[in-house]
Amino acid sequence: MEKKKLITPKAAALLLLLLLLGAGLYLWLQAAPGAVSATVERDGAPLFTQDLRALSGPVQKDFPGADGHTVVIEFSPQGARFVSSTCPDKTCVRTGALRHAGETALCLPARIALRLEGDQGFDAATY
Amino acid sequence: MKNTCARTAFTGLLGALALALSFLESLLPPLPMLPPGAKLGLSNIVSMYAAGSVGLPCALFLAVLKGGFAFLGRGAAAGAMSLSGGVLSTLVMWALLKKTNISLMPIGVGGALTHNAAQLAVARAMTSQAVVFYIPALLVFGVLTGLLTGLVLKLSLPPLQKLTKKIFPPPT
Repeated sequence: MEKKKLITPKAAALLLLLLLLGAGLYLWLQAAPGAVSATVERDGAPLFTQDLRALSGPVQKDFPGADGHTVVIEFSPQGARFVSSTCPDKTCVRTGALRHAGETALCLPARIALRLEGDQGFDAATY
Repeated sequence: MKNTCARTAFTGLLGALALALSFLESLLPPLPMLPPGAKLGLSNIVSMYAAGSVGLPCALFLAVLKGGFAFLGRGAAAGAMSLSGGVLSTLVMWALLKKTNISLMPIGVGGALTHNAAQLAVARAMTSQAVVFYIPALLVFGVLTGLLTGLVLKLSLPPLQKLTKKIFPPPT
């Protein structure tokens, strides 16, 4: 292994290409328009959808997750975020607020995904 | 027999080092613009060294050890993520190190990207396909951390090889 080179010009070019591809996709996602609805999924199935345009201020809702975990999600006209969770590592809470269509936050222990969507014509909160 | 004892002890040392590096990076603050939970993957340096210099069983043992500790410390979801990423990236790095002439930095990148891909697949199985949102950030971060892994390993190899030769002296 000690005889292996650090990097070759061909490999450097390929890695640069990968880096540019990833950066381009990242910037494209960041340029997405603001969200109009937020969907909460558990085990891959939609659990709740909130039309963000119908809200006048922040609203918090509890969602039961897998393995006895519970998460609290806050919906507001600007977006949505995990406020708290009974999971051990709180990665979902540290994700912070989602603002743009397509943005996603996950709570793996509770198997809950929070996803923002663009304009799809929602006009009410639906279960 | 002596060689087996030395190999077992050395594997234990590498395991302790991998766990210490994992713990160390868990103390670092989250990096901006990155998916929450994304880490530098410092312990991948140890896995890559083990895969290249000690052998596949030792490297796989390290992946299972890290997965076991993640399971005990942070629950089943973290354990599944760590185990899947660790085992797949170890297999890929071992294959690239032993079966190809690819240089160290791309091998580090290969390990980092397969680690991320396996974790993404587990996250997809546990939640929904919304996880694809994380692909671009994980691609960029995987390339950067993989480059770092390859660089640090290249710099650490000379002293590590000296140590290995002392522990496993060539037959006279």
